Amino acid sequence: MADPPHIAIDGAPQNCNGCHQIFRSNSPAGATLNYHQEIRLQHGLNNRCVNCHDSQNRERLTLRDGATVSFAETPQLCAQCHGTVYRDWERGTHGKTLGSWITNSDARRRLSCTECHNPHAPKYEPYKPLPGPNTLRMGEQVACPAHGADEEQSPLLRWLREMDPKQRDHPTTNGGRP
Amino acid sequence: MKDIRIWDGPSRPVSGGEPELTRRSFLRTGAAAVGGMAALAAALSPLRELASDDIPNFDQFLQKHYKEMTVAEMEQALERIRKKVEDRYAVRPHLRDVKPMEGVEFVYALNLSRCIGCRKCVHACVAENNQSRSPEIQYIRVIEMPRGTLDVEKGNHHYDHPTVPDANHFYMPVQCHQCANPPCVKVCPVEATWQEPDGITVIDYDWCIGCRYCEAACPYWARRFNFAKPNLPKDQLNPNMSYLSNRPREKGVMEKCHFCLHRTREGRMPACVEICPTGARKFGNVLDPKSEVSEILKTKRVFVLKEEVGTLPRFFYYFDERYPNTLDPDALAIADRLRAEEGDAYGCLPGASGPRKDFVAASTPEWWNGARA
Repeated sequence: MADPPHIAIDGAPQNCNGCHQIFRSNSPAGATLNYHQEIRLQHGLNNRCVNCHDSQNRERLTLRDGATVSFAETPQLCAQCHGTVYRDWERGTHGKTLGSWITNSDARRRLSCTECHNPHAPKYEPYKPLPGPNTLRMGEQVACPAHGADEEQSPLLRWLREMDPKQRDHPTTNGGRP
Repeated sequence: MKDIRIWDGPSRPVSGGEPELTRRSFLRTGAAAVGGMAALAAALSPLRELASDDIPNFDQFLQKHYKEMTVAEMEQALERIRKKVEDRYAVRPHLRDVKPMEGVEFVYALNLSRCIGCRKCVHACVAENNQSRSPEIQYIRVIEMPRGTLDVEKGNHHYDHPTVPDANHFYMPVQCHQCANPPCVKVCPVEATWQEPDGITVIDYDWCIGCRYCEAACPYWARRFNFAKPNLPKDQLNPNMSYLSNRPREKGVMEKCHFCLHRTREGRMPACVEICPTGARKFGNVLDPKSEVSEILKTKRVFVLKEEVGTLPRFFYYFDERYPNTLDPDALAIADRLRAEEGDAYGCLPGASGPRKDFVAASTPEWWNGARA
């Protein structure tokens, strides 16, 4: 994540304090917002902006002991509540690693918390799955209504028959008997 | 009057003359000859369907086994394959023979708590490894399993929910486990498949005779056979390829997952790891104590599939102890149902307060109680 986040208002680049020097709103929980209406805060019990965002300097994040960290140091913030996951992330058993499996490689990059999770709604959105297998051994497991209940269930045989022009229009499984 | 024979039996030379040629025997012989020609033509018909580049040329026919080729002979074979790929796909491939790295043994780990069953790994693998698109060949199977069991007989490959994960199921992808004791290698009659020093079991596609013994021997159903000529559109060819991994295969040879060795032996991640949107897939060098897979083996509860068959897989499954968490109402509802139906003797289900004391006492052998005391 960029530090601080890049934002633009009406196409003009801005920074957080550009507005928040003037609007020192202190976490209007659930109140009607004029800005940030796109933010959907679904983070369990954590439902106040200033739990994480620093109330004085909006380009910093706040820890529970009052210290502030930059946006690039998000894992330290998350670790305050998600200790076991942070421990796993430090070891590399949680989270995603890109580039290289070689531990001291320059190409290796570990993703930090907010590169996978939306911090405002960290639970993963449901995915639409990609299509299932239609391989020869695992083709669609449906009986073809045109071929009757005794239709050959092996996708391999079915595929071979479709490939054979002689049998393509002759989908019988009874050996040609009437 | 000419003698008319009713039964036209086996024709024997008539003593003292030419064999008699009746109309019937003439027709019969003729019919047999025509039938024989038709059978011969039918037997040879697969040859007519062969394109010119299907027929192995002299060099390929005389090519040695992978392990017996010198560097020059390997370069000759690579050049032959490059030319064939160029003829067939109109792309000059980046083809080479990547050797294993020193001090590396690859291990794979998969977090079942994180896998959501999106099947992205399946399709990334197909795109990376030049599998046939029709008929489809896929190295990874994602099995949808009901929560509360590890019985793959209850699994389903063909789940088709609008969105995944489904709250009542978990997802278990299965691919080649790169066993340390691989039954597929033992059964190969021509040594066309073997285990490399970095733990990857590879296939020399030019040496494989297509007997499919290895497919039958694999307890993980990980090997695939090219029943038909692989059909790969030209614009979908991945030109980054190596001899032992993803170069285009021919009809009649086996193939399987090879941990993307053309990527991983150059330090990169396999395609399935790179694509995984949840970080459920972990890959690394188990001989490096700082690697992610070493940390997983040290700190997580891992298991292997079909441990009892003794294949010693290099593919480990693990769970996060914390998930499904007790704040998840779906998970709690499922846990309650399972606890009501089957009991939770070990206290593993979310919301449990620990193992049932009576169960531990009743089922634990005496020597174990002694060892704990």
